Amino acid sequence: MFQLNFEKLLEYDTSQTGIGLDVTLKLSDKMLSLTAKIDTGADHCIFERQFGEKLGLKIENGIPQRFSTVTGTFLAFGHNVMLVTEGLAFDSYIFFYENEHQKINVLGRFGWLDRIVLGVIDYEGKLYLNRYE
Amino acid sequence: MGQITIEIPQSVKQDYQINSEVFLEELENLVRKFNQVDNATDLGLANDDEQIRAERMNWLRENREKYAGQYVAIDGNRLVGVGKTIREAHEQAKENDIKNPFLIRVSGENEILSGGL
Repeated sequence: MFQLNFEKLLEYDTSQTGIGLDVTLKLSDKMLSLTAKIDTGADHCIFERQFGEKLGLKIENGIPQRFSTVTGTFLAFGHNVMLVTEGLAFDSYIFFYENEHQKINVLGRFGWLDRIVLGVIDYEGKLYLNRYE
Repeated sequence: MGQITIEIPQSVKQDYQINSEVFLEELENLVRKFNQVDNATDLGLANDDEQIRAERMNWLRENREKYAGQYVAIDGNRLVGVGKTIREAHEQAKENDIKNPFLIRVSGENEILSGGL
């Protein structure tokens, strides 16, 4: 038997597609809230361009990176932003889409999943979360 | 002093009650989110220093090809740990007395990463 202990238990709506988490992005004195889907298949956390712009970032000043999906590839730009999920804050390297029409916000592996402990019981709509110490 | 009595229709009362509840719920959510960020600041993880962020990004621009495919731990513009895993890079940083380095998985310019969904 294995045992994990968690500080946070969140309940999510299983009738919705994906598992969405409340996210706060913060940069200096600016911050905004959004919902992002947990995506263990995404290498990084990627957010809509408008959110980066609202934080005052010049998107193209970030570090360019190409990503692939089943339908093709897209370009995004990396920036150092504070990412907060359910009270857990991470000084992270996250990406914003170049294309303003891309509207899917994802919490991916590098910068989020690699610094938490996560447990999911999808049948019950329960998500357990902890910072990896 | 004269007194005016206004009878508020039940439908208006109900609307007011519903709107108040929605407003209070939104206010609570807002306070909760602000508190989250305050907690983050308490943890020493809120990096509001524009110069430090710029140094990190410059370091990454200059070194991304050299460390592509690896994790690095950066303190300002100084490399304090490197490894194939986040654990390796973090452990090295801790050995260098840096407890909270900026940990990044570096990708090369021509590397195509998974965008998920």
